[in-house]
Amino acid sequence: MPPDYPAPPPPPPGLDIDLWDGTELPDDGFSLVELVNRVLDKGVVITGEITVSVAGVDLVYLGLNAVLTSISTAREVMGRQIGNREKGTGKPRGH
Amino acid sequence: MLYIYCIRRTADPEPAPSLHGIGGAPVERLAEGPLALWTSAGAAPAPTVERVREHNRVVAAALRSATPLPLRFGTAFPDEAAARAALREHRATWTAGLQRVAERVEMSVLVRWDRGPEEQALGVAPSEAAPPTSGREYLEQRRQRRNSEAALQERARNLLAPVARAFAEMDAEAVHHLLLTPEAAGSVAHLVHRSALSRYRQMFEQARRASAVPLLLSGPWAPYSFV
Repeated sequence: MPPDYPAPPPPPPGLDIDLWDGTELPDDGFSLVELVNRVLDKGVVITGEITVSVAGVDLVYLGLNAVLTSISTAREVMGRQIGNREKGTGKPRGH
Repeated sequence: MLYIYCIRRTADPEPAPSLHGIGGAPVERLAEGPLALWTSAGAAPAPTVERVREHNRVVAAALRSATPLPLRFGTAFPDEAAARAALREHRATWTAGLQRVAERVEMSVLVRWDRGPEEQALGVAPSEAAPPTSGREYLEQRRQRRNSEAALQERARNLLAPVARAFAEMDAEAVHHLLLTPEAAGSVAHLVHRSALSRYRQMFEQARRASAVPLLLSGPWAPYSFV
C-alpha cells in the first residue's frame, strides 16, 4: 500500500485545472527542488553573455545539489571552478 | 545592464505595469521585429532562493498570457543594443522554439523516495567525510562512492520509469530529471497542450493510486525542460 501523503487541493469549481490563478509556489522543500531544478539548471542559455557571479567567481551554473546541500559543498564547487580557470581548462561565458 | 527573463512574440501581451522582477525592478518588454524579451534593469544577481523566485514569478506571469521561452537564471545584457542584436541573431531558432511550445505548458511529476543509510551518506560532501590516510584509501573511497552513486542513479531511473509509462497514452514529450536529493528521486516533466490538462490531471491521479512511492504533481511551469 502506498504511504499516506497529502492529497492535492481540488481544482476551483467550473475548471479542471486553474492555469491562471498565479498561486505563489508554497514554501516547502519539494517546491524548492522543482523551482531550483528548472530556473538554475534549465531554460534557454544565451552564449556569450554574462553569467551568474557568486562571491566574485563566475560560474557556468551552480547546480541543484550544490544549492541544496551544505555550504561546504558549494565552496567545493566554486573551488573547482577557480581551479579550472587558473589551469585554463574552463572559461566563464561572457568574457 | 538588462536582466532577461524570457523570450516572447512581439504580438503577445506585454507585462502588466505592476509586474516587478529581480530586486523589485519593473519588468518591461523590449521588442525587435517579431520577437521580444521581458527585461528589467540590473545585472545578474547571486542565485539566492528569493532571486530565483523573483525570476520565476516573472516567467510565470508571462506564461499566463502566452507560453514564453524561459531563460535560465542569470542572463544579463550590457545594454539594449546587445539585447536587440541577440534577438536578431537568434530570430530563426527562437521563432522555431516558440512554435514548438505554443499553447503548451510543462507539468511535472515528482517522485519521492526514502534513501537508506548508505545512500544518505552520499549527501556528505567529500570535504566533510573522514579524510583518507593513504593514497590507496583515497582511491578506494572514490571507487566506493562512484559505485554507490551509480546504484543510486539506477534506483532513481527505475522509480521514474513506471511514471513515464503511466502517461504514455498522452503522447506528450517527456524529460526525466534525476534529482537524487534525500527526499526526491527525480521528476518526469511533460510538455502538455493546455487543452489536455484535465486529462493529464486524471492520468496523474491514476498513476498516484498505482504508485508504490509518493508522487507529487507540480505545474504549470513555463517549458524550462523543453527549450
